[in-house]
Amino acid sequence: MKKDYSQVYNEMQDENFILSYKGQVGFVQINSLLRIIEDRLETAEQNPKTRKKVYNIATECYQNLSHHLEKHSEEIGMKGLAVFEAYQDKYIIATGNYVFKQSEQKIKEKIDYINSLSKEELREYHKQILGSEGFSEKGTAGLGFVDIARKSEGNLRYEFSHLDDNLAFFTLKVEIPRIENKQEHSS
Amino acid sequence: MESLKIEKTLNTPFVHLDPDTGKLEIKGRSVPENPLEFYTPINDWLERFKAQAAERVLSLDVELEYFNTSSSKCLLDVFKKIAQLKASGAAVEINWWCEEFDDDMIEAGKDYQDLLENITFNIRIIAEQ
Repeated sequence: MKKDYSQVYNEMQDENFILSYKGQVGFVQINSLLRIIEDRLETAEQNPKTRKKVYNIATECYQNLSHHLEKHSEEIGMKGLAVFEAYQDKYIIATGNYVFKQSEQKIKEKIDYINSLSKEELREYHKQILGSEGFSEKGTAGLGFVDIARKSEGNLRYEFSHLDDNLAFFTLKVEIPRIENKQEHSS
Repeated sequence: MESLKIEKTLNTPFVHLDPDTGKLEIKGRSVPENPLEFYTPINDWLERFKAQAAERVLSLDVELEYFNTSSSKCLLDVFKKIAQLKASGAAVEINWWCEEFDDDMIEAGKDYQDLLENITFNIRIIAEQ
């Protein structure tokens, strides 16, 4: 069946938008996506706090995706999925990429642990990693998920779909509620 | 000693370290792919400044719009260097500038405050234009 984009177009509110990208997720591509999102947020989001938060989380999610892509077969390559959805009541930021089975357990444990922490515990955990010496072998601070969880103030949702014994498709999804701030509108 | 000036780019902040006035500034966004590469010259400069730090007054103003988590670690290294300048005899303070609504930036400043107990680390609110 053919997809009718005129329907998608008409059903979407003017302030809503969806951006979905599959492809190479090097730093250059991620930057281009973030430029588009920043530009759209500038007009679509009136609340400066939400605007900044959403852009920040998107940056962290997509850079995280870019940093952590693992080299696979030629076929899968370094491609990933980056999704950004803006609705009247919330934003959704999602990423998807293939990971090896052995990474799956590590990612699960990390996210489950982060999700189990209270706001204050999360802050302490963040400080503990920030204050520890050194970087990961990938040159990152190991703070990506923790930072995303802190800023979004909600659970990180994830899923692993198994492709075969070796590979799984890892999806991370973050929701950020949209707060109406009338005071800031009126000024 | 030469001053260090780095113009801002889409992903990296404006930096100005002036050895004559003791005014140090990092302003803009810090979301580079490789923050270590970006912050190394800053830390090297601060290291060299140590030799003339005694009895100097230094203030570092950090006013960031955005920064990624990899930069957060590099920033802590910069702040630790500033703390070392204090140990070398300089009077130092760090000002972490935030917009009033930006709770995330204020929180980040509080984290640094907790991690840097021995130096003056002020969280300051940018006055509205």
